[in-house]
Amino acid sequence: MNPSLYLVGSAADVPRRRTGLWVFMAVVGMLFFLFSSAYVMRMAMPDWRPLPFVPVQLWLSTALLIGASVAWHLAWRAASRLAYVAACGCSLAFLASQLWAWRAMEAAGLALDAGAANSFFYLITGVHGLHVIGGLAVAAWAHPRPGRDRVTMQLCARYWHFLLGLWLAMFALLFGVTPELVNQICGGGP
Amino acid sequence: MSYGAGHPQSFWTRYVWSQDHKVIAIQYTITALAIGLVGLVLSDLMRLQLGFPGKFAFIDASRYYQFLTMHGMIMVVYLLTALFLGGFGNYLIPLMVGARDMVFPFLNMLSYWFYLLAVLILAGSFFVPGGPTGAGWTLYPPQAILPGTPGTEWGIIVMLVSLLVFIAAATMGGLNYVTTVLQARTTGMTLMRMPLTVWGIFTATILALLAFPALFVSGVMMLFDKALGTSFFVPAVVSMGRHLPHQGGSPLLFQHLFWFFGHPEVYIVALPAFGIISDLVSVHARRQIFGYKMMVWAIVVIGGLSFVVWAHHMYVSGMHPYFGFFFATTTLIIAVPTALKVYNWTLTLWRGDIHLTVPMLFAVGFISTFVIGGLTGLFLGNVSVDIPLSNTYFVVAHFHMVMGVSPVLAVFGGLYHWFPKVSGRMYDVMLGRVHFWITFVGTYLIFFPMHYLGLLGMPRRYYAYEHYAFIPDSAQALNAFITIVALFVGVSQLLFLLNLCWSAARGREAGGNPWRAASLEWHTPQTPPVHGNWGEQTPVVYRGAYEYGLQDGDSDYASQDQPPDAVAAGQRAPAQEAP
Repeated sequence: MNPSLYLVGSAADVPRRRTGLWVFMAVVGMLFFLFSSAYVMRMAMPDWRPLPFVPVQLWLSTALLIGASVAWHLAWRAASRLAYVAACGCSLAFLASQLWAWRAMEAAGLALDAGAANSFFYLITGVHGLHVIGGLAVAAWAHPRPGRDRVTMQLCARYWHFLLGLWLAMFALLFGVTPELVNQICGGGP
Repeated sequence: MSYGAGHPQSFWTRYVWSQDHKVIAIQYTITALAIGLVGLVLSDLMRLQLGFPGKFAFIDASRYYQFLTMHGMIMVVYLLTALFLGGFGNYLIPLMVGARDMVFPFLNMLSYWFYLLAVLILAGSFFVPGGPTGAGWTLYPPQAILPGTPGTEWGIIVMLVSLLVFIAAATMGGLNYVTTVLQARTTGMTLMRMPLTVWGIFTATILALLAFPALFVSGVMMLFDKALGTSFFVPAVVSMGRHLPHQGGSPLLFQHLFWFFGHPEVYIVALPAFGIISDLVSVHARRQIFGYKMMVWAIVVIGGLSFVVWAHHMYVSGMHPYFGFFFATTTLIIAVPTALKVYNWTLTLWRGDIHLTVPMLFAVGFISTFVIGGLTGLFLGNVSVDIPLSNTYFVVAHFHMVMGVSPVLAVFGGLYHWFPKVSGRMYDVMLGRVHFWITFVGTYLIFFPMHYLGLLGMPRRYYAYEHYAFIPDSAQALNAFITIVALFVGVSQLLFLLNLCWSAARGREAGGNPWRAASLEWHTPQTPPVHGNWGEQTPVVYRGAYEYGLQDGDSDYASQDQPPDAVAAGQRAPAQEAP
């Protein structure tokens, strides 16, 4: 192991990792905020056709991600190995379910280039999925031992709560925000 | 905590796969200067065409636009952003706040290697079929991805991929800089005792972390439009006589996203320059910086305002008059904290014990060019003045003065100032002075006349200017003059490289603190500082970074780690155990 890893005492390490994660979540939050802004602005163009239905797989995905979030919380609070495995399992299942939703959308003739709303659907769910994959990679790389490394567990839990919040916001954006709603809020200016 | 217990380091782990912030900073700096040299050559190639149109057959219209695009992108992103944050930020933040290293050294190393990868991908675009993109550095769709623009086959894809990799690198670096400033300051180093260089880089990093996602979003969406047939930005277009599959996309959406990144980008480059200039002015005029708190708040306020002015780049794209009013107002408000900084630098110099060292020359030069560029910014911030001038050389003159020449002068000043700490040796003063005068006078001769060309109505971005009745012949004579100066100034930059290379090997020993500066980086136990920076204990800070002009025997300053009761005795701080 590189000697520079020993330059910093491990006690000082905890607030640094916490701060680092908060800063990272701010960056990711900004990224999704900007995707959402682009989505809402693109909606104003006359060719906009909203997504016609909510693929049922997305409800399953939502449940799985809630499950992962709860499991991470248990892995941190109860220091449970089982909860750690369940959290990773739920996250992988979430990704599979999202892919399944993509297949269902494609089967319904709503491919990536068939309309701007579809393009955003694949883009936003894809970028969100990449952030889940990134979280899983870090969780695996950190090689946690739930009993001993509570900080990693806590940070994973925090990141997954964030991913869940992000997913709920994106879910609501993709299917709940309509041109009429945007018009009601933003329209009617001077 | 153990430190420095026999690092078993080979050449490779020490200089190549290094996790030492100082080595990473040097890697960043050398890479940025190398790609910056490419950007410089590209600008001279453009000037050859502008000064002597048609004389150089290899510069055809397509090449010209490719040079223009690559010059802009390289200078703004790959040179200045990388050099200020990756170079100066990496080297100075841990040393100035009294930390042993960045908080995530591995991530820091990764940041450099991603940056290098981004630079190599970008340079690779010169060799792909069709050459690099010629869409202009703003890469506006739809023209950036439609046939007719150079480099639509591969160049634009390579450019976008390179930018995405760069953003990943900048984010990894930025996480480190922000977390280090927030969590790794040494005992006594309160936020309001940090040198202004750290404040500038810290604030600029926050801007970068929040603004680069906008470039990321627009880059990804443009890649989708180009490669996967989506219609985020591309409307229904008939191109070369056939209907493209796109429909309904909004080019304006891209402009909003791009400039939501693009305007903070100006301050990502300017704020570190402000910080560096503040330090240089204070050290070399031997005076406390005037209004330290004001300077900090000015940096923070400029950073905040920079997020609500982006549409002043889009006045000519058409917008609701109230929007124009809003963005013009916010733009002009930025002049207040900025002018405050200029006044404070001037008041620091006033009745100071000014030493016209090479870094000081560059600092004073910066204040001059920045005021000129900033004043024309006030012109262009007004919608009604901007619209007739927007497409002319007046804008070229404005942004080159304010964010081309000025930050580059700050870079040079900073490099000369910290060179003795980085290398342990002093640069050649005579060469440094010659380099300053050629660069300073030369850039004025290049860019100042462009204001007149702009007022004549000479349009920017054009490849050739023959047969326009409204452009007099004298404009061509002026262009030839500018080209000759630009070539001379371009070649003269070799003096700088020569000076750095020669002095790093052969310069005279500089000692640990040749400028008698008060901030922590000049008080390391070794020069150049070793891995870990501080020996057994990190320093303890008792005061701000600008306590100059306190005459006491031979010393006229109090270093940050000098305890209050030791000022009279002129002693250094006793070493204390860091927490």
